[in-house]
Amino acid sequence: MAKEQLDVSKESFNLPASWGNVWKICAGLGLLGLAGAGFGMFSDPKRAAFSWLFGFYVFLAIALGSLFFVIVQRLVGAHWSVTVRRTAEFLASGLPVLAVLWVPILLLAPHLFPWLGDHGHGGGHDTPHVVGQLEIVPAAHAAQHGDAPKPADHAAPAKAPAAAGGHDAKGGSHGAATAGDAAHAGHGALGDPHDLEHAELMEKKKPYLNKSFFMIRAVIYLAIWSLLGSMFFAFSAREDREKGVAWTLKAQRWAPVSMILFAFSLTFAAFDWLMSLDPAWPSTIFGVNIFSAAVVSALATMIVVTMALRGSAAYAKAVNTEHYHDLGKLLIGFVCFWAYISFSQFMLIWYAALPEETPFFHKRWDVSIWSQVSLALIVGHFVFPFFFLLSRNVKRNLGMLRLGALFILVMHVVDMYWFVMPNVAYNTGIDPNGFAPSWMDAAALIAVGGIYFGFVFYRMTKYPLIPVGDPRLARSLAFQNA
Amino acid sequence: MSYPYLPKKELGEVPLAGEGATFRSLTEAVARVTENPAPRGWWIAFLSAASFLGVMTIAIGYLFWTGIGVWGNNAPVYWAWDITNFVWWIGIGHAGTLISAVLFLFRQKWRTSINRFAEAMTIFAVICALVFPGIHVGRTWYAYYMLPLPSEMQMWPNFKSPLIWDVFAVSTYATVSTLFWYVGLIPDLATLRDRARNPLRKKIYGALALGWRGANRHWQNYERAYLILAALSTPLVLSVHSVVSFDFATSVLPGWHATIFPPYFVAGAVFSGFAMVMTLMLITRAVYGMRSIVTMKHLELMNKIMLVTGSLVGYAYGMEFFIAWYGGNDYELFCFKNRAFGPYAWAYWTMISCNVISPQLFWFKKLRTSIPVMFVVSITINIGMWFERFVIIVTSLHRDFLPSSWGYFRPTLVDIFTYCGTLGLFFTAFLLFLRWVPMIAIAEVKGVLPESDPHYHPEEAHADHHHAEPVAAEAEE
Repeated sequence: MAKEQLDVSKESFNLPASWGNVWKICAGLGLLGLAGAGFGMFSDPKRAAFSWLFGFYVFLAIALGSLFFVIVQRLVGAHWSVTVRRTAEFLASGLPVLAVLWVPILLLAPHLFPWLGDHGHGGGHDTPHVVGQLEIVPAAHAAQHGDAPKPADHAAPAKAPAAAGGHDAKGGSHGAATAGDAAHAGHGALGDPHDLEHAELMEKKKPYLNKSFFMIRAVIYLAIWSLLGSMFFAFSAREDREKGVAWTLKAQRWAPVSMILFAFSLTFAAFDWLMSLDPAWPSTIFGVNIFSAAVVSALATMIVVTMALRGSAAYAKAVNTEHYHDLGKLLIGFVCFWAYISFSQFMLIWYAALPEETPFFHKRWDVSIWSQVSLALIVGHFVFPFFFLLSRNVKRNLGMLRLGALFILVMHVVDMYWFVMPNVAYNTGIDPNGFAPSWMDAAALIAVGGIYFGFVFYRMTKYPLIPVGDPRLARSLAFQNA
Repeated sequence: MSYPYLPKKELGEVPLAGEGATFRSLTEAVARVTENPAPRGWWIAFLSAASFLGVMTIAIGYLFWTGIGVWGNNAPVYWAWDITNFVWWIGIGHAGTLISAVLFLFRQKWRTSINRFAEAMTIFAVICALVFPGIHVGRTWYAYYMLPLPSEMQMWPNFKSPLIWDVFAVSTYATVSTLFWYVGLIPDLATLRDRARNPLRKKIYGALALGWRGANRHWQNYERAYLILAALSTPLVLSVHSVVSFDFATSVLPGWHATIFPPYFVAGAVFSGFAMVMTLMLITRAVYGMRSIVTMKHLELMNKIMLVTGSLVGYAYGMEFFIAWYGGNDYELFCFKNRAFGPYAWAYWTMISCNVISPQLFWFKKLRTSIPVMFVVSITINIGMWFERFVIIVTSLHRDFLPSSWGYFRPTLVDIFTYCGTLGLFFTAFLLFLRWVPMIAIAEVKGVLPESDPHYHPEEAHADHHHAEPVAAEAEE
């Protein structure tokens, strides 16, 4: 208990000098990635669109999860978290940068969203050649694994497309190439009753899934996030200078409304930018699913970033084992929450086996090596981190905790890849094998990550690393887990 | 450096315990209820609750004698009040464990004044809930088939059925909640034992206190056990109502099959559980003079939780409705339109106004600190949550896929008597609890008084350190 009390007024909580240039390195890497991704966007815009969406969502999730952390700490008036809250504030204040980085998605949207493409009006279906290629996907996969009975389904051009069940039960999905599609491709996709049904479905969704409303909504989400991220940062930064309680009270007053705006914007953005990649697929829990991923990634990022800054002795005292222990507890808690939500979504869809719902998991299990990626997520995003982080000793051992957080961050990248990429084959037909990582994925990840973290670390050079004026800071510094 | 944990007035923080609460006044206020003769009001309440319990016994006896046909359930509405009541009671049983486990893990120390009360309520609510699956199977003497007992007839439950998962989930929950409640009770039972003058009373409480002496080692084991039970109970809080939601969501029935059901049901359960705690707490604290232990601060925080969970439930309603349209499934959309504008629109709008609109009053500090308002809203929420289950169950069933088999469910008198009867069961058990068990966790509330912190040195006490013991010990009433 003989913990030295830190005298905040006498210490400096500025970024250690060795870190002063890190933002430049990040930004440089980001620009390099941007050049690569930009080259990709011109040479292969279809594939590059998916890469960018993936890279964008990896960091959007981190920033939104951090925004949630800030709002929720304000909402409940927490004191343990005051010192680490600033890190989340830095991360959330990068949201305006992400709003700018959203522009490529807008430009490439017709390649991403089948309901938005030029060929998408009314029919909303893929061009016939894509249908033809898609047909190869499951069959090739099955053949690869020496899975005899399934290819038989495909080999016989089904007379009744709806009967191509089982392995290929893609039902009403967009791009759902039943065995019949290949046969029909020659005489126009719309001749197929299946396609007619699909066109009708897309027509029904048009009031929501259309270009102008899509853009209006996107602007609203990005404006809300940029505003909230900057606002909560400003409240806290003003308090650094002015002390007192006025800005804390202001932040607490804004927190409830912000939480509601946050919940709806995150949900509908997930519907718009991820769920509608397969416009026929609905899931009521999808917003919560993306939310859970966002919070996990934000907590892991906070752990990694704060540990990196421990070079400063004062900072290392202000953000100490006690805070890491709590961040670790939250991390394992939200890892479980992620698993709970993901499992709920999977189990209910699997159990009911409705044709409009199963394509989501079909794409992520029956096609190419996606089942291995799915398994990797189950093990790497839940089973392993759960057992790893269970022990109190691990959560209080900084090296171990950092290892766990880094591992979870890698799995977060895989998670976002899993959400975006299985749609490539279905929406564009350029990856007939269904799983084809591209160098552009890495370029987009580096571009978005570099620019975003460049901005975050640049801000860190300008502001103290902990909220030195927060009225609850003393409690956070004295905080101990029982 | 000064003690940092004193509430900061300028941030709107107030102490957890009311003015004048001391170690002694706490023990007195709580233990006295079990020691003094029961007031007349208690007897009136107890006898009326017991007579409702009698009504339940008669209604269920009649059901056993005659058969399930005495209820209003009939094609196409095979599930109606029975399952509605089951889910409603299970939901009410969620507040206890949430308060004692989840809020414990989140270090929400205000929970200490209400956790005992809420945990007891949980156990009684689960008992009421368990009545319904037991009796709605029709041939109740075969109810044991629900358990996977080895049988020479090779009759096993269908492990792929969510109904059997329910049996496991609810029985696990009942077991762990009871253990948790009992473990928390041990130090307080020892207090009652030590205060007892009557030898029989001393023997009974002494046996129940398991030899508790308040030794350092006892406390250490106790805290460890409490933490482990809290960690075990936390996933249970989520899992029980998730599994209950699977009863519906694994089906392909429009209005039942939605992926958001598990977290949505959990939020609704916590919502209704808090509402019930609030209703009962408001009466109890007034009758037994517990205002300095359960303060306005506690009530306000509970109202905030109701606002949060009510809004989560509203979010889920919104998602369901939006996806019903967005999904483009005609049957799904019909089901939701039918809920809002069909023959059961009255039930749907009761649900919306009680669950989504009424808690929004708590946005205003004036309203969430007004006892009459919170009393009315807490009852409204309980009504609304009953209607939520009724709407989900009955409106999805009553207009079947074949319009020729459409119907309209009406409860019979037996339905009504059975339901009101379980309220009698609940209140009977609850009143007995108030009478014989310390209704507030004395030891835990003492733990959150500032003077229990070894580092507590209020500025003013420094000058006069030897007289730090507050003199207002007897100020209570």
